[in-house]
Amino acid sequence: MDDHILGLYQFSLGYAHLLVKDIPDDKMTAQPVAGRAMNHAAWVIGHLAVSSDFVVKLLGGAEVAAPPEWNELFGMKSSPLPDASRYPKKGVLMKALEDAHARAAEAYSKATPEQLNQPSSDPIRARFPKVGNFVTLLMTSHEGIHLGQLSAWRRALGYPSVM
Amino acid sequence: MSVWIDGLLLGWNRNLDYAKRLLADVPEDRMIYQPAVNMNHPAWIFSHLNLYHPVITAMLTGHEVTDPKGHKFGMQSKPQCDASLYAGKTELIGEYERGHNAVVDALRTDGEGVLARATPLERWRDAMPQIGVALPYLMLVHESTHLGQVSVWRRIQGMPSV
Repeated sequence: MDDHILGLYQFSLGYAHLLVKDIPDDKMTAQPVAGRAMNHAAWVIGHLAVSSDFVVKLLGGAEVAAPPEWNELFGMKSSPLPDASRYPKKGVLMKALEDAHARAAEAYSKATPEQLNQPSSDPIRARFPKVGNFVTLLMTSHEGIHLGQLSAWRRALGYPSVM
Repeated sequence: MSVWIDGLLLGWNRNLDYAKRLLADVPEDRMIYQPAVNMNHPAWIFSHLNLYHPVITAMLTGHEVTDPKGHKFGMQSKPQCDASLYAGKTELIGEYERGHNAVVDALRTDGEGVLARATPLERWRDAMPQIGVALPYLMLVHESTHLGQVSVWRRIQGMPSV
């Protein structure tokens, strides 16, 4: 079963690449509708990178891909900012996502049943009783939701579907 | 029931909850609204997602699987601004919930027994050779991607995050 999650995780990384392939750097923080803050490409990619780093930490790892300051910029309580100068360039973001994915995939492939069956810590435990539950969600649904947001952001800017 | 299926159902049930919250305050007449050209609207998204529940259930129960690809709401279709083409909001979310529950029942009944079987749909078999590989894609990744599109559809109109 672990291979199935890893295959999907790899699929999501490929989809992320496709979604930003034709987006120039100066459009990565674009907001298609004035006055409306959508999750733009820079935020989505950075957020998925720090989320993958979180998978590594959940599975007991210490080495992560993203710099510590990215947690404020892209973490769970962050919001997309209109100031493009606050964000790394697309190439830097995608490299971080690739590295974070690789580390998380390795951590997951080495995780033991005991690790995955460990109770989650509070407050996560109420929604995800076991570490394995939360890790699975981060590597599947969570990525799917944000990549779906990115696909809709593309459409709003007039970019074609990539599928 | 295995930890694996438990985890799958946890994500699946979260999708149902999220979907209901995403639609709760959407007026009927906004279900086909496209704030940008070719943007997937909720009527199309839920019509599309509802196609896959019988597919998943059929895979789990050993019944014949109908390929959703060529359906009028299949992957090659596009959202249309014609409300008459779609079921109403209540019916769409009702069907979505019934479909979700049918999958849960099928998984709980004999989920373990079918995971190693070959994926019945031939065009899926290269990427998803066994049912156990297809399930997390169909149940978690595919659904979540489309629900993420609904969340953006909401934000672009100034509707609050759920």
